Formats: sequence, structure tokens, C-alpha cells
Amino acid sequence: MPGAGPTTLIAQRMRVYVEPAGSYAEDHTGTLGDFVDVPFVEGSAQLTTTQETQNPSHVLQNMLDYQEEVLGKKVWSLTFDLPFYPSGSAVGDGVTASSNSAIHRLLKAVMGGAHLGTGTTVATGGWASSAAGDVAAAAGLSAGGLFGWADSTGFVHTREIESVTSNTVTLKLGLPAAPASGDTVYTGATYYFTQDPDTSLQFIVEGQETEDRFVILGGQGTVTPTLSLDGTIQTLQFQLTGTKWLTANNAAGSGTIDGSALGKATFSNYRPITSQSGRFLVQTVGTATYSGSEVDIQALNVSSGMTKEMITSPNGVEGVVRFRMVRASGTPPAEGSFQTYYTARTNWTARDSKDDKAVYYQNGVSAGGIVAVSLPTVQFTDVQRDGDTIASETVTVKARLDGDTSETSATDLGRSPARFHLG
Amino acid sequence: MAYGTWTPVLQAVRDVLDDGHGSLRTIATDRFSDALPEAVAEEEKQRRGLGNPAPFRIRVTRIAPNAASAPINSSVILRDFELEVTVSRTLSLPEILNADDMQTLQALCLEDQSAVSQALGTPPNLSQTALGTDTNIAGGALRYLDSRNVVTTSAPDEARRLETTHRFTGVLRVSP
Repeated sequence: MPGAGPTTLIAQRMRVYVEPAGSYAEDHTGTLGDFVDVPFVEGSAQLTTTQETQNPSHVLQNMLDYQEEVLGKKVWSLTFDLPFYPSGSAVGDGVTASSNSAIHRLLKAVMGGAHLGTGTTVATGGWASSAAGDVAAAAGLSAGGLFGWADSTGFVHTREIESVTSNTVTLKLGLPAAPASGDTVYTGATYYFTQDPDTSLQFIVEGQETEDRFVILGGQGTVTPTLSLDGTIQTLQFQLTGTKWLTANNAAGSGTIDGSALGKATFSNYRPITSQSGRFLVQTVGTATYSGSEVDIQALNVSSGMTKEMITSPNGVEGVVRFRMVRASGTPPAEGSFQTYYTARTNWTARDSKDDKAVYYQNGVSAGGIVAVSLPTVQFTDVQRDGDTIASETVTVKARLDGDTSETSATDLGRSPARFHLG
Repeated sequence: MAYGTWTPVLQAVRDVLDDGHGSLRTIATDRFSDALPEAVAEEEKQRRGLGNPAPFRIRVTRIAPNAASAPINSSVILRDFELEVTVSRTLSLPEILNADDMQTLQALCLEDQSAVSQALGTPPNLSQTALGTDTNIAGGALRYLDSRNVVTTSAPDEARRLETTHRFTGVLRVSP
């Protein structure tokens, strides 16, 4: 019953809906079937719902009095961690990556673009090389998208696609061996930056108390991965802000979401993986040689310099019509660092030569159980010798537009300076 | 309400150690045998621990909430668990009395550590049991923690056992 508290944060629920462009902050809770549950990390969701008050400052006749403040505009912020989980089922021959997951909706809304690949098979005759060849049906593959192939031990190696011409696929980096005729070509969902993401996010945030129900609308923000390599579960941190918020009793869906016991959250395609197995690859852009591209690392960090700015207008909702993605001058769209064991001055040389490098990290080894992060064209901007017990070096990288895809007409997918893949 | 299903977890570990199950870094089927229940008499344990296959037992020793788990009222929650694999090799009289023989046996025990940690720690060896049942172990593998060994006590000039316990941690998907 309401007010029976105190309650804990152990039991919570959060559902998300993507507001299409042109429908900023429009209450959609009357159609709850369009919301999906978010498997956020227990206790990580921090929601603040603010309504400003403004003092009219009219003159008073008693120095002990104070003006009644006027209710002003609303604003909310939400941060939460989400396990960085893969597609959950193999995207093999004839299978298209699913869009029915919370992580898909969140990444697409925040980054702007999503490509849902369709798997196929290696064409008759197999590939003559490990980096290019024909597939049976390439319509579901695109430059910048994900390509996966299992070697003889079953380990699925993933790569980014450089180009697709008819049914000929060229990879940016070669595989350990040439795929054979009939081998399954796996793919997945690829999330990339567009220049102007124009959707927004709407959440229903619920606690144990029957009146702990909030609807927050018109949200946008950023996503930052935490790429632990120690066998724990990697996460994505979402930091969102928005304008309009409602207590659930004032929402269109109040009859369903307000005043009743906390329901069970149901997740689709949710099979998180741990972080001790995968691959980290660094190669010069334009070089498809696989040998020598594997780099052993102890730490990896990636972040984005893209942010979201409110576009204000009296015609908007709480004075906001939409968000616009921006990047501060002098800030790269994505950057990161990796720490590796010190062996030679190779990375110093690459820094001095301003070589264009591709950085690719795959976590997981099985189809349906892989996530990947790509910075397809980076510059090594700093190399530092460091380490506590192992002589190491940390390489700092800054990303630019992908310089290693080839398309008939350049697309945001093909040019994105950073990508997430769910395979 | 459904409970966490542990049978496939335990079965898959046994399959990997005892039956050569897995696709990478598998263990020869004659190296280990699931034959070390605690209630077996000491003399029988000593007999079983002579040469290969060396007897082992497995135990899940700890379960705790995973730091990345969704709230309890969700269709999938995550649980950390610790699992021990104990392998027993018998110290017969030559090993007790002769340093070279003891060195050989110790080296074999250390090799056991390599075999066990590689097989259980390499995905996707623990994604399914040998019969194809999904284990729900996140990532299809465990993470190796450490190994310790003890020499069991016995009467003077009698055989003893070198018991090596290898500890692992893993994450289980539970669908309540």
C-alpha cells in the first residue's frame, strides 16, 4: 500500500521509448507496448526531477515576509549503467540483427544511427585471401558494418567491413585464415554517429512504492563505455537530461502504471558476457595484414566528445523544441587510450610519424555473444612509459572520420569516427 | 517463479574435466576422473589417486549478487559464484622419501593447474553441457582465481595425498 516505506533500491523498473523526430516530449505512456524494459545495473539509476521556482520580487511591507515563488520550467536528469551486452543470438545466414532490445534503442537514439546487418554464407569456391571474397548474399552487409567468421576451433573473429561491391566483401583487416565455401558469415547491429540525431528518449521510472512512478520525456545525452578487462561485466554509462517530467498519476498511461504493485521487468535478447576473452587489434589504416595486429593490453578506455545541447524556443516543451548534437572546437569526436606491455619504440614511432591507425576491440568469442568497439582512424597523440609491476606504455588516441571505408556514396555509417557493434 | 539452474553448470564442469568436452584447450579424457567424494575412505582415495586419471571433485562454495545485475524484479538477474575443483594425487612411498620423485609429482600437480584453468577458463567450453544443455554461464567460461595444495596427514611411512584446490569465479544468468 502507498506510504508503507521505507523501501530500498533493490527493486526498481525502468522502461524506455524512443520519441520519433517531430514528437519531442509527447506523452506516449498510453501505448505501453511501445516501451521496453531496460536491464540497468541495480542501484545505478539516479533520477532527479526539478521544477524551478522564480521569485517575482514584488515589494513587501514587512521585513519578515517573503514573496511566494512562481513555479517555473521543469528539467530532469537520469544516469544509469547498462551492461554492455551482445545481440544474444547468432546473426547468421538469413538472420537480421534484432531491434527489439533496450540497448539497441538507447544506442541508436544517443548516437544517431543503427545498421541491422543480415548474415549470409561464404560463396561457392571460398575466398582466395583472408581479407576479401564473395558471399552468397551481401545485401545485408555494409561498409562500416560487422563481419564475423568462425575458425576451425569455433572462435568467431569479427572485423569491420571496408567495402561491399555486389557480393564481394572486403574487410579492413584480414582474418586468421581464408573462409571456406559455405562458412557462415555472421554479422550484427552496428551503432554509429550521425551528425544530427533527432529522436529523444522517454522513460517510465518506477520504485517499490506504488506512488514512486515518474514519466520523464524529451531526453538526450551521452554514452560512455567502461571496458574492464578483468572478467567482470562491462557497462555503458548513460547520462541523460530532458525537460518535461510527470508523476505517473498525471500521465496518459496512469491507469496502468500508477498506484499498482511494481511489475516484473522482462528483457529481450539479454545475455550479458564477461570480459576476459576477446581480441584487441591495432593496424595501420589501409593495411589488411592480420599478422602483428594483435596487441596485448591491460587497460582500455574510450570516450566521446560529442554532447547534446537543448534548442530553446517558446514553441517548445518547457521551452525546448529538441536537442542538437554538438562538439566543442578542439575536442575529438571520440578518443581513448590503451595500456600495453613495453616491448619496443613502435608506438613512439607511430606517434612521431602521425600514422593513421585503426583500433578495434572485440569482447566475446561466440556468435550472438560478442560486443565490439571500433575507432577506425586514430592518431597516436601521446605515448607514455608507465606501469606498476609490469613495464608498460599507455598510448592515447584521438579519432577522426573513418578513412578506410569505400562506398559509392559516403554514409554516416561508413564515415563514423567510432562504432559499437553487437554481434 | 523459477530458481537458478545449477545442474548444467556442475555438469558442464564435469564434462570438461572428465570427458574432454569443449572446443578449445580440452583435457585428455584419461587425465581426470570425477571420483573424489568426501565420504570415500582415505585408503580408497589414496588408491584412486595413483597415476592417471586423477580423481577430482567440484564444489560451488559461494554465491553473491553480481555488481552489474538488474534489479531483483527482473526477468534476468546475475549471480557471481565461486567454484572449487579439488584434484588429488597420491604421495606413495617413493614420493615421500625421494626428492626427485616428489619433484615429478609436484610438477604433475602444477600441470594439472594449467590444464584445469585453461579448459574451464576458455570460452565457449562452458556454454553448454556435453548433451547440449545451456549452462547460462555468462561468457561461457569461468575466471581462474588461484590454486593451493595441501598434503593430507597420515601415519608415518604411509601414503598420503597431495590435494590441490583450484578456485574459479563465474557469473550465472538466473531467470526468476
